[in-house]
Amino acid sequence: MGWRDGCAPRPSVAEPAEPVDFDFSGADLVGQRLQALLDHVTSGLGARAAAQVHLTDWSGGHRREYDDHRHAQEGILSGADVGVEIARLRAAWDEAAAAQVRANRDAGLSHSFAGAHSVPSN
Amino acid sequence: MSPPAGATAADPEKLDVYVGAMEGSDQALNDALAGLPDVLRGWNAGAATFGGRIDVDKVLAVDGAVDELSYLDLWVGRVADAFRDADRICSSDGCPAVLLASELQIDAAGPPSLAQAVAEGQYGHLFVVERDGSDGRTRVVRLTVDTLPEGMSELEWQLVVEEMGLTGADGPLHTVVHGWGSTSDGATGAGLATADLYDQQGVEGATVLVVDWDAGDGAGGLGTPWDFDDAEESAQATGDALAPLFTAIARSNPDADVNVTAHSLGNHVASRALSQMEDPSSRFSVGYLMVQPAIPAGAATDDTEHYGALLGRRVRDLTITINTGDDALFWYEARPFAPEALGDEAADGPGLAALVEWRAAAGLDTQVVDHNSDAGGGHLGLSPDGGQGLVRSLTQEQIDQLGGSSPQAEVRRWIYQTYSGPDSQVADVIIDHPAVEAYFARQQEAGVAPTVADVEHIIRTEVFPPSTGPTPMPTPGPPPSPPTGTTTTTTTMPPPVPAPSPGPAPTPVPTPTG
Repeated sequence: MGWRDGCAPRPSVAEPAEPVDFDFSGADLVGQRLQALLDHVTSGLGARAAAQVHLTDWSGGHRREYDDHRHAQEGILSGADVGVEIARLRAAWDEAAAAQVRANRDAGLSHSFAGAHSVPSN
Repeated sequence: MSPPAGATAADPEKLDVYVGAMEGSDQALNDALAGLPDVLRGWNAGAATFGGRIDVDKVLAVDGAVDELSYLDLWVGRVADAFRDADRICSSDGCPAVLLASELQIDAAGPPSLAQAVAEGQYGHLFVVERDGSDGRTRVVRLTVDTLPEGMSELEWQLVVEEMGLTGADGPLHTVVHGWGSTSDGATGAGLATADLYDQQGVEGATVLVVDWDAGDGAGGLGTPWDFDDAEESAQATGDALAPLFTAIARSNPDADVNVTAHSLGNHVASRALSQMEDPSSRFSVGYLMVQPAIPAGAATDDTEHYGALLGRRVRDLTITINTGDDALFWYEARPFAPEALGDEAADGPGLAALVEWRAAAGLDTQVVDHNSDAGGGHLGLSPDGGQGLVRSLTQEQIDQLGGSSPQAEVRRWIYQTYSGPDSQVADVIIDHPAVEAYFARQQEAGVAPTVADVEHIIRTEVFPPSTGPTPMPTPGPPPSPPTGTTTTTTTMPPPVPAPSPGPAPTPVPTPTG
């Protein structure tokens, strides 16, 4: 799954509009890295859960230490909720994309309006 | 069935299967985090109008938890080993799959937490913090590899160097590698002196890593003391064993600012580790100062598997000091069937020329500093102090280059181009003179470029003052023009090399190696 599946497409800048103050390429890089992190966190948690079958014969104090430390650290992973960060980035992307579309449209209208005025009247 | 009180039970073979099952996903998760905090900080610095800032602390917390879980998964393997190592009495049919042991016996596995393991000295046999940096000065850590580290996976190296702060995440990492016969104290002293130069130049967050390898007794301490061949074998084996260390740094922080200074035989260690490491991102690179390298002159082009890093972008800046009058390297070459050493090859010798040519073809800078210094019998040492002005200046240049350029380097080149000639040591006398060293130090500390005019003045008033009589001093020529190619070669004409005496190869005499 891509980090911006369902987001607005990356808009182009239509002359003579100015580009909005948003680094779409940078956002894409950050989004991809965060999504990869989230995917690996999820698969890592799944792998560790599946691998517990190999630990069924292990008992005693060190096994309890393992369980305690595992639960504490996995709790941090779950609590961090990288998905929230991705959602915030998606919202910024959509807002910036919409602003660019508006800027393109406004510049086009303004350009057309100015052009109409430039036409000599009869 | 539960084990009796005070006892614990496990099937170590199954624990090992668990470790194997987790290794791939743990490594992938660590790779996903490599360099991510810096990427996010860079993004946050620019994100303003539309928001989208990322909580870096949250990602750092994830990073910490991932490190702990990765270590925990490896720790299960330590528990398996502890079960196997525990004394027990089994029937004549052998031991059962599920073994019993006392809790005390399994304590040999150490704590399950990475942070706790490092804090409790679980890796104290490898890493010794010589200066912790709490006073604001550059940190110095010594890596002791008299006994080569075995059984450490790449992931474990990565976790430990991250926990030890050796990935260049907080500032530059400068690795120094000593030569033959150096003591731990001598190597540490060189590291501390290198660290002082980072402080002098106001570089924050730097760490100097001293590689303290077995340079006298052969690999694993099993050889004959002061046997040079054993020491060379040890250097090669140490370099091979330390490749995972550099892999770990590159995996954790592929854009780290890393410098390497290696002396004499220590260049086997550094070159081989850099050549055999893995760099998944292909972005990792180092600035490398080879001081009088005691490696075959043709090593880089003849044995690319072990020395090929010298030819490529992994070594982005390479500086080599050479001296055809190097006494120590004379003995290196006097051994039966010994090759020419890189450190005392002539500036236009075939091995050195091929190395420079290959690098130039790749668009890489190489600086060959051909000197006639008396220091160490012509075999300069590792430490950038103790009257070793040239090593000091080259080390300062390495530090400067992390910021882009080195104004001091231009002045040093002027000295060598102006005050050199056949059999001349005038340039070396100037660069080693306390007044010149002090001037460079003041300028470095103030962040002000030294000038040729200032150095000329110091030469005339302090290095060769008029009262000293008719000291022959070459007339300075015009200031050198800026380098035009990718290779800057500072050349002096070398003195004649003494011919080896006939008969059996002499036993090398240890020389101070710094």
